Amino acid sequence: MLEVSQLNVQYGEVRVLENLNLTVDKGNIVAITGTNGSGKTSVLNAIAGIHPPSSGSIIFSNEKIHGLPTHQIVGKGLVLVPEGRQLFPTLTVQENLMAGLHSKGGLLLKNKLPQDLLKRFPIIKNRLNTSGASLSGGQAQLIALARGLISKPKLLLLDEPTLGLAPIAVKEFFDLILKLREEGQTILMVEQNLKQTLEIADYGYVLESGKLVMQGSGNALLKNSGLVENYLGFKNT
Amino acid sequence: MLNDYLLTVISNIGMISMIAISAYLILITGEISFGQQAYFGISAYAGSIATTLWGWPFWMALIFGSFLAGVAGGLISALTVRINGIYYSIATLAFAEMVRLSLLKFSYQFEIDGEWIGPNGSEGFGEIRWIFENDISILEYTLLIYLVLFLLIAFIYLIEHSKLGMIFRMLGQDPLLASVQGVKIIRYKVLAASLAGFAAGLGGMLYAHSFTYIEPQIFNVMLGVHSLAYGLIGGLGTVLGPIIGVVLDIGFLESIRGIQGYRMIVFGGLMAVMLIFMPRGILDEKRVHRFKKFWEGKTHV
Repeated sequence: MLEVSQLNVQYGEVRVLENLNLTVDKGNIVAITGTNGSGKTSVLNAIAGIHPPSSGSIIFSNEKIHGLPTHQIVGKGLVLVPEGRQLFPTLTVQENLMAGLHSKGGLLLKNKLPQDLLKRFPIIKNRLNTSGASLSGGQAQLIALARGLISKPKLLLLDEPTLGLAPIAVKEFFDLILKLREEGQTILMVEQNLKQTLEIADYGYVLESGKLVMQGSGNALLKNSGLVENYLGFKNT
Repeated sequence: MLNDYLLTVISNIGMISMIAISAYLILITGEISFGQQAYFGISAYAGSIATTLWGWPFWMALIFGSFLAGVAGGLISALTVRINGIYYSIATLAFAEMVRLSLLKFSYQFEIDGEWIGPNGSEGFGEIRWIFENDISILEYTLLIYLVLFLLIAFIYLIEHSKLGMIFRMLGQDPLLASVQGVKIIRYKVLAASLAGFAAGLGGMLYAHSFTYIEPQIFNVMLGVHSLAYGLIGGLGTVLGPIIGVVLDIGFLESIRGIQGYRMIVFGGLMAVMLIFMPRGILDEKRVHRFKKFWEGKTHV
């Protein structure tokens, strides 16, 4: 579904990604992990067109998307839920969700929200007229995920979705991600909860200083003692 | 009965409200423009040339001047769309000063009844006599100003309650988050700037015909700063916010003769207090939202 080849990204003189190769197959959860500053977010930003790559190719559903502006990439069914930018603070929850339909031409304020979305996210129903700013971090993250899903994307990109959430909210979030995979949703996620992420990931990539240093199935990476000790900072028991 | 002074204050509030709405439109898309006075001036000159020198009907000249201001607004926005924050503000200020200084050199005069009429650099542009030639009273002209203002407010109100208004606010709050929803940032920023230019243009053309004389100095940076301050004082939650700001300044501070000499000091102080305690103005998004909820609750009972 997504094929990234020889991707290089530079911020001015600084090269943040070097010759990165990455593949995401349909229906899989793929995780990108690594230490702070390893270039994880830059991968998602390059794929979503926020920071175009300096060289390399990004093929999505057999179409070249590198160099396209973000709005065109969104239109092709690739939706990013960026880190720390959950909701538009002064818009209501309903408006925030409707914003996710913009690429489908469905951003109409009086539109009814899809029933399956309301069922999956019961939190929404009683908060439709609440402003984005008045929600807790966990609630806002769920609404942001719901907005990412409302347009039924082919590929969902999640950047640090559990950052700052309480452990119980993190568990609920990962349960939801697993349910989405069962329903066939393809997900590429950057996540700091490495153990939990690799436990659910079909495949994982480990970055260090912009370079790919390890890859494999989530389970294989978890069992790799070198990775565990050098990059994830905990001992596998 | 309303006396002429009071009518002048009321008509001033109406005309300045249009440039305040113009600055407000830019503010809600997340930028601060110090240059809306340029569009006010462009339309004042263009509209006055159209009625006085070319003999165009008033309404056609009003649309022409405002359209020109809207095109200029869109053009400047297209050129500056990739810069933001303080850099955008400085670019708008530089453009406005460029327009003002160009008007100081701009001469375009016709001989009418043995008299040279039209803009002539720093001497300005007098004899904009449409009001006198058509025997329009101050009261009638004030009503005309408020008709235009009402139409403008209704138009902006419709925009605010449409998809477009929501996109403008998305851009203002988080352009990156808006872009990952598929919003074409450049398109909507240019559109907002064009609408803002058009709104300022309406006020400028009406202003020129109200005072029958204009000169480049009128369109200086203080007009732009005031128009910006009106939105920040009155509130960024609704189009009525900047009008509240105008009423507070022109209707209240300027009209109380006792504080005439201290007006700018009081206005500056008010601005500072507002920025500290109500950074998005009296009618900010939260209060407007609360008011809407309260109103909906009342109407559902």
